[in-house]
Amino acid sequence: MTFPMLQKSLHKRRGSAGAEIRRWLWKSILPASILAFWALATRFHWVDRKIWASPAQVWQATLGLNRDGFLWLALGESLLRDLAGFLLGAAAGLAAGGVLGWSPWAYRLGAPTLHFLKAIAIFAWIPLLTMVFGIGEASKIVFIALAAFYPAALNTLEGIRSVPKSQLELARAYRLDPWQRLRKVILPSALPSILTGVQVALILTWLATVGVEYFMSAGPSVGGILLNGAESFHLEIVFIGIILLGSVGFALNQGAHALGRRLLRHRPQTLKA
Amino acid sequence: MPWAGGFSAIDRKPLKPEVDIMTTKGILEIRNLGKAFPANGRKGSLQALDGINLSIRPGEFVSIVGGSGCGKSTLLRLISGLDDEFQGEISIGGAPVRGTSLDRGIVFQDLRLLPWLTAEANIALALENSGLSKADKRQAVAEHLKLVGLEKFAQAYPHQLSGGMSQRVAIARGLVNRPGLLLLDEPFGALDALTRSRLQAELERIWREEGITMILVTHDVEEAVFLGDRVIVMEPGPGRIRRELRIPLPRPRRRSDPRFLEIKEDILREFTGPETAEAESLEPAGRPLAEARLDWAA
Repeated sequence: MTFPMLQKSLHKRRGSAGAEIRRWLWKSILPASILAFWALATRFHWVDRKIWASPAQVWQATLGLNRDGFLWLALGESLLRDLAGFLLGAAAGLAAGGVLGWSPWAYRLGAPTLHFLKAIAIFAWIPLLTMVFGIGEASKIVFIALAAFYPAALNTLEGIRSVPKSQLELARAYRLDPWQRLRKVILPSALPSILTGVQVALILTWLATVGVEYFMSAGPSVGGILLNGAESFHLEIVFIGIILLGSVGFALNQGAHALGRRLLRHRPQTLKA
Repeated sequence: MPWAGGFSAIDRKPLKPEVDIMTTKGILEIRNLGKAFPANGRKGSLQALDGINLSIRPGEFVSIVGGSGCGKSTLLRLISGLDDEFQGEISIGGAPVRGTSLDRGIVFQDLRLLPWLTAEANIALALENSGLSKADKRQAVAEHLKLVGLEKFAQAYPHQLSGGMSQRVAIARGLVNRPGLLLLDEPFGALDALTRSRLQAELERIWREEGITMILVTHDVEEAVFLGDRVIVMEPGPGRIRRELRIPLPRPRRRSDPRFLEIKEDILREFTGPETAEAESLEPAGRPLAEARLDWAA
């Protein structure tokens, strides 16, 4: 297709390389300032040097800790655990939200319970989980899955219930059967909300992963690094854990946004969400 | 602008042999039709339509005109089968209307193009249960895009189309099943005056070529007179037919024709009295472009 008007809107204008670099510089002002302040604060002893490590010390500790690729191993462990819990919880959440959104009967039956359970902080489940699943990997993964379950279920439910009546009526006018209605109208209409749920689930499972590793000591892992650093009063190790935690969370968030933009690229009105 | 101007007639081969010719081509009979909505928060109900009697023969173009709240859109919904709760009878060729049918196309006031589908896919949605083969569906969609002059915009998404183009996609979707009856609910209400008059002319040509029965609901008297073989004037509280008149003018009609103007004035007097007959639109408050439509007064 060669249509100037269409092409203009199909291919969004990309900024020049110069503009890209400027944007990138702008974004790094604050992190760079914090790093600089940290370096100065430790260099001139504005903070207690017995507790606070300098950026250089953290960097040295990172190299030391990673001599045998330990950091990669720990990161891999955590990500794998996160992925397992995320897949389990998001799948269950999508299914539960789908059923509750689809059937008014299921909604009346299940929605109050879901809203009650949602109000319970997930860390409150740890004692119960360890009683049922022990203190091994199963407990941790179920805990992480719980973190993914609620946002996935609630956003799916909300997305399906807020499909405009006019679109459902359109489905009726063209005599779509329930399956066609789901595939052609309800799911695409609910997609932005479902994606938001998945995105939130992705962020929360990462926090839950590190949290559960910290509370249920999990060997080499990001949470394990935090725990070790804290227990041995090696703050530089704690910093390594924090930086890993933040970087992965940031990357997951960016990735989820990029995926969302890609899936919703034909809907300019929902892109900003 | 991509105004393609022309349209092409479609070779009307019988795509749906299983549909009984009596029901597609039969007379639409509305007998003593009434519709009540439960009133909010109070006992009793709101009578939206009362004692509607109307018969429409195959191939006729009927305009239904009236102000807000006269039940004209409700009447269209009942004919479409989207709403099954009413008193009285609606039948086509003797068969009572129950539920929606692909043989009764509808073009909604708010278009209802699905934003995640291309123009082509939006039209194809209407064919999901047509029983056509994949190839026939593709062909039918292509033909109807051509009919409304949008064949080059098959792959465009609704947000890339102008208001007039979106409206044409909606009309193509209403027509693609080759319905015997097409219901149009204020289809041009949100368009600018120029696009509006173009699409009215285009709709008239499609109607003549395709031989489809069309019922157009509008609050624009000029539009009703321009397109209708007959104009049904409705009044509110409860919605009833106030007057019915034939438009004996030859087609295509000219808006500046003195007889055209005379009929228009005559109908407007039903609503407003002679001193305000030039008000043109029956829904003055809050309608976009209500003033723009005045441009046409010859």
